[in-house]
Amino acid sequence: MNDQDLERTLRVALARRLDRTLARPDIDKVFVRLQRREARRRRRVGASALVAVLAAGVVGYAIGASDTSPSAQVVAAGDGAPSDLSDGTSAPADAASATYAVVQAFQDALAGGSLNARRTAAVQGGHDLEGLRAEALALAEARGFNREQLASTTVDVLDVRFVDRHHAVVHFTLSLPPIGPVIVDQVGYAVFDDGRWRVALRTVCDILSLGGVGRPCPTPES
Amino acid sequence: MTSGDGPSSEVRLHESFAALYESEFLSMVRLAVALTGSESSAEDLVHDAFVRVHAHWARVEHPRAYLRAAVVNACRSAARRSARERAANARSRSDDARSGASLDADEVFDVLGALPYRQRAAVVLRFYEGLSDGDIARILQCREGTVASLVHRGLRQLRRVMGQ
Repeated sequence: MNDQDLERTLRVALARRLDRTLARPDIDKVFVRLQRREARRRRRVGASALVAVLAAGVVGYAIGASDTSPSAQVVAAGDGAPSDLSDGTSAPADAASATYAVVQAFQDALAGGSLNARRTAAVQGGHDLEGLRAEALALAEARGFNREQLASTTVDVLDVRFVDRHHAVVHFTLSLPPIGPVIVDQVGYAVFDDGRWRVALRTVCDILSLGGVGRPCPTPES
Repeated sequence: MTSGDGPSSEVRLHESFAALYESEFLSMVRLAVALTGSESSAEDLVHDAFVRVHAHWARVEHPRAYLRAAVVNACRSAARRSARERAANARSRSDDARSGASLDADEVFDVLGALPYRQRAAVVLRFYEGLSDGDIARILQCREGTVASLVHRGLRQLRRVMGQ
């Protein structure tokens, strides 16, 4: 068999054999795979980005870095979350100024570019908390984020609603360029504590627990 | 949000992707069967390849060529898994074939399946898909000279088995 015969035999054999292969198109099978893939990607990116946000923002405040550290003793008696029994007032007298102060506190506490001193002051009990910063930074860097990226974390306060003169419910979104929003329309709290509005300890705890850093916030009753 | 000026880019993507799927699905399944020898896994491999194409759709200039390369890559690991099955088929068929003057399509197909993957891929892409050495080289990520060598060695092996 010469080369031409062999090649012709091969072409004919392949065509005959493969003509018998029948398959019914079902594009839904592609879209199901795409949905699964997207869900996996979101979980992966979300987990990484959350750690990055934590590294950039709130991880200056350790919540139980270890069971034996002093920070583990932070108790949430008055963690800033409004209780069912508010103090009976509806809102601060100067609501506009109070709203501005709440927004500023969230910016100082959570935005990537904040100075550490402002970050500490902007969180309820922040000065008592030792940082998980090194741990979270190492985690974030291990997941491919650099410090410049982390410094670009932004916070958008979407809504501030006063429960009483000392507590507010705050809706906010955290974003990490170029990924985009990583915590969307999260409910947090602001508390008027020691003469100024601050991000409630409970809110910091909640974000930390979302990222798997530190421990979930203790309940106010504990 | 729609502007009223026509379908959104997402809708256009879906339409053009769906058109590619409808036009190429069967031919890609057949290519996958040729590369793996497995009817059962071919459809899954092709669906996986379409997912890869979809993920890069915005940057793909030649969707069919990209899809074909994705199928060839997806089949590489699957071909390893089915190699033993194909080798057993090829042995049994070639035993039968030796009594006759020529091999039928199934026998040629199984003999082809006994080739190393890159040789098989080069032969299939050349003689089933009708691609040039340059196109095959891009898919297999090698030089054109390597493609010529793969095809030559593949044909030599086929001739040896078919000539027995």
